[in-house]
Amino acid sequence: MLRATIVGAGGLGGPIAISLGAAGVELTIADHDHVELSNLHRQIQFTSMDLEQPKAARLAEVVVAQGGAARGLATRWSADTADQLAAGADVVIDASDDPVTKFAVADWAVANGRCYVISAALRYGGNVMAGAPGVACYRCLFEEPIDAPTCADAGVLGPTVAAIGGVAAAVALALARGDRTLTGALLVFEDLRRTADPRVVRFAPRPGCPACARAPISPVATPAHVAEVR
Amino acid sequence: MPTIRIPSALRSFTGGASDVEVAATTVRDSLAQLDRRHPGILAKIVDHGKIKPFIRIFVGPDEIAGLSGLETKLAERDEVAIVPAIAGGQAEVSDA
Repeated sequence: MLRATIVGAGGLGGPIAISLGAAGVELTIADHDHVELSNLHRQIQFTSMDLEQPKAARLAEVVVAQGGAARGLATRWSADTADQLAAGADVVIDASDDPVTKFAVADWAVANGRCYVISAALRYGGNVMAGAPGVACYRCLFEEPIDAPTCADAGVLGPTVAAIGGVAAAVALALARGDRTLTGALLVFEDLRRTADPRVVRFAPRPGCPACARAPISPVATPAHVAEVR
Repeated sequence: MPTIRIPSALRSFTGGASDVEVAATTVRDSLAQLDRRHPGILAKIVDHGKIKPFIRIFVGPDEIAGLSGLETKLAERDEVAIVPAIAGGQAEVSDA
């Protein structure tokens, strides 16, 4: 069975978890937050019955109710929790709304030779990046988490996070099964009201990237249980 | 003329326009023209002559860091895409 860790159980984490869980991926979901009324328009995995409940546990229950395997942990991704949260994961998926967390997830994945996906949504569009050992990383692209626009600045539409989350799940599933087609590229969805076609932009490893400097010299071998499903 | 694709986060400078055509032969020139037409936008992209670390610029599918940086030449039909890092998921959009 493939395994994934999802960081964030909100607007992006919901569709990612439900679709991957239904695809048979065993999930660990991490989110320290609780469900609020203002979440419900875009975090459609929750209902008014879930208010004040821990998001990670509730989302895991939704996945399990649909026949999937998931556990939800009410914790943040941090240097102290990363090893535990991502132990055994074939792919780690950032679905958070925090630029610092996105870099932390990517840095951990690079340092530990894991595949990862960074997803983000804003207003009517979003970005999805696929990372794998040996290719340009998220920090090669965006260097550091300063002043990145957030939804607190500009907002996000419910259908936007559903669409971007769906793409992130598809990319994560491909990575977990060994498909490296989109690594070293960023999918940019500029405005989903006008087109669902992403701009696919490519980037190279950045000389001096501190994350890559700490990375394993050679890519990690494909886990045996991944090879079985090819 | 080359076209600059403006990300949604910077469209407040362009009156909501997503595309701006510029008569420019390099990326640097295109950004200068963009700023002359929409004052203030360049300061959101470039700091002390360098592209800010959370913004990347692409000509077609390629990041300019892998080309000639701000001196990358532009052809008549080139598209220059400004791509900022973004986060996601927090608040409601007010103008949906």
